[in-house]
Amino acid sequence: MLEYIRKKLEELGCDAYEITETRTTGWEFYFIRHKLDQNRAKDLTEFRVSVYKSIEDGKFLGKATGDIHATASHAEVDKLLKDLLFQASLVKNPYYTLNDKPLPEKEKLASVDVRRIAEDFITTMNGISETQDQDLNSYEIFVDSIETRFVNSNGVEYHCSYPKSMLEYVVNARKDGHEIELYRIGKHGACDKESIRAEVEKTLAFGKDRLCAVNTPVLESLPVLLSTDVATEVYSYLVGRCDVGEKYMQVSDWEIGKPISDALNGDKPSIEVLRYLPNSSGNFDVDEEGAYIKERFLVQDGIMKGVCGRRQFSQYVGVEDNSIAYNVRVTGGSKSAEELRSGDYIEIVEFSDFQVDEMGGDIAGEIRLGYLHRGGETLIVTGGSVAGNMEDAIKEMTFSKELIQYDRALIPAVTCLKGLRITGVE
Amino acid sequence: MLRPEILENLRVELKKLPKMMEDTLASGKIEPGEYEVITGPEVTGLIAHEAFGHGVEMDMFVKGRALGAEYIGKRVGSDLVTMHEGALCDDSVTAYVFDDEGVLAGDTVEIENGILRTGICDSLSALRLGTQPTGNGKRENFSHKVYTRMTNTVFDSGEDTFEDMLASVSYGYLLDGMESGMEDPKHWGIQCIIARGYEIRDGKLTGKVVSPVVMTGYVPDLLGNITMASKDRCIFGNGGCGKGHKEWVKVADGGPYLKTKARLG
Repeated sequence: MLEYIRKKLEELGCDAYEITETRTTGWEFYFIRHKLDQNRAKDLTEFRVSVYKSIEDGKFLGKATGDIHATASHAEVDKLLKDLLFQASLVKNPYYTLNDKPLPEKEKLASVDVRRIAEDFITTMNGISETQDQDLNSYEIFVDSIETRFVNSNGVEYHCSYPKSMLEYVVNARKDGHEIELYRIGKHGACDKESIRAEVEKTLAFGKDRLCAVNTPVLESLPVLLSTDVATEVYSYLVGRCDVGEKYMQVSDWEIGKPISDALNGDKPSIEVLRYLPNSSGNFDVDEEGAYIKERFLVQDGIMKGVCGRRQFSQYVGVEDNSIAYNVRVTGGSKSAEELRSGDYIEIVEFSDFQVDEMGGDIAGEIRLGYLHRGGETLIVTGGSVAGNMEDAIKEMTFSKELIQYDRALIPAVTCLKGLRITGVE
Repeated sequence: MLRPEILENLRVELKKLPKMMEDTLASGKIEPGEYEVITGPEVTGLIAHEAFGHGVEMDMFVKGRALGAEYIGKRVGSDLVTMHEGALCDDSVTAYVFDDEGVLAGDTVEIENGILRTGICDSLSALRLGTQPTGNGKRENFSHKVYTRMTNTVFDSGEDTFEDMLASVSYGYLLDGMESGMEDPKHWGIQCIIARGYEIRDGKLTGKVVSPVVMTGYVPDLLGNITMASKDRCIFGNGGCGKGHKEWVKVADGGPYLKTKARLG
């Protein structure tokens, strides 16, 4: 099919193209308590085609993208490609070129054992220590082997395979006839049994604590500690500021060689792009547009050092040799997690949802479980919310030397934000 | 001339955007606390979706994940609260004739005058629960599993005018524009992140704007405190909704202006 699409695109006279063939072979398991409720398997091949059309003698380059299923007939493929070419001819993007650099020698395609990874997830979840009052309500396991082949009209070709998994689970905790639940979802490459077991058992303990929680009191501003996967939102915002798309659209005003804030009084973060992180679902040598991923600093000691992002915007802002960032490592914390957990603070471990708006930096989240440390005492709290803005928070932000991994992000285990508004319930 | 649905109201809607942008740019921060609020139709829809949309998806009943199962036939809101859910409720992006399992689309009255009547159901969950599917079996795409999912979720209109509702507020906010929301079917907590709050004092808009606004609370309190509902209503639907944080499908929601009390931060 890929060769047919390529041949047809050349016949149709498109000016450039990218084709990505993706084969997903996956197993899915749906458990209620520990009883298998449903299971599914899939073997799916799809082609994503981007067609480019030069407009007004190369002043503009139009692009249109569509998906072709493996079972499509030649007539269906022909029609879709013609439609894409027409659509591309209507899009007046300033001209840019596709990747054309030869890629390093391909290594042997990695073998992904879906059966073993699935078995690891299932045995890990079956081995979780539960009690009469805290247990797993349900969990869903998705394990995929992804095989991808990328080609473009400049002769760039890349072929890789990798595992991609997802675990969603719900824990229940009950006391005196009252039951609550906590929800978690995490993406992974393969299954890291130990870290998943630790994470689930920590969530069970949070469930027990939530049953004892009292309403969050009205608080003056306190340092807010984040020590769960929600902290990735904070660091995603920082990575986003280094994206050429945000630079081009003037969403980010960060500049290479300059501090990321005019008053960086807390820790000075370093953010690196990595090709490989153990058990990440983003271990690629080459990005989805055919650019080799160079390991590099985006930010070093609080100074912007580099950018990441797509080819189109890279060229618009005058950057060659760029790539999309998948795996990142954030370091630079000056204190240990224990040192950050001192004095008065609130450590929030469960939000209904925690968001950092990528455009304006607004922070918002409803507190479902937090530990309020005040005057040497600890109060378990629930309810209310936190709100603030990253542009202010980054100035006094501190984070731990210890790191923890959430899929593609290796970030400080504890992040401390100051100056957030905490809305209590009473 | 027949135009794509998305273009129908584009000219009208685009004209509103600069004002919204100006309001947001000029906005301040809200003083956290409990306020009288009037929810605009978009925020009303968000409440419908998060409060009793997810809470009565009956595959959650099968897993014992929804408090709603214990409240069928019981009061969950004031007399002014009647809520419909179904692909037949509106000709929005999520309107269809039959669901992804071939079950004919429905129009389910979930809450009637404040009493929770029933939930919505896919075929497998209906089989497990010994009930009938409601035409709410949806999948993200052909390669995904069917779950019980929402379609149009909408509060019924009331008898009040917006002007009377505004005049009745001594100190509070008119809440407009939704950012996002999150459900808690087991505990009936609700979180709505709202784009803008317009201050109301002594029955009049003062011109002061706050942004963003995080509205939190306990669903039966929020719905139980509804004392007024406007005569008109709107349904919004071009976004996606996840089951937890996955399985994205198109949904729509809406309703009239509602007056209630809520905790804002």
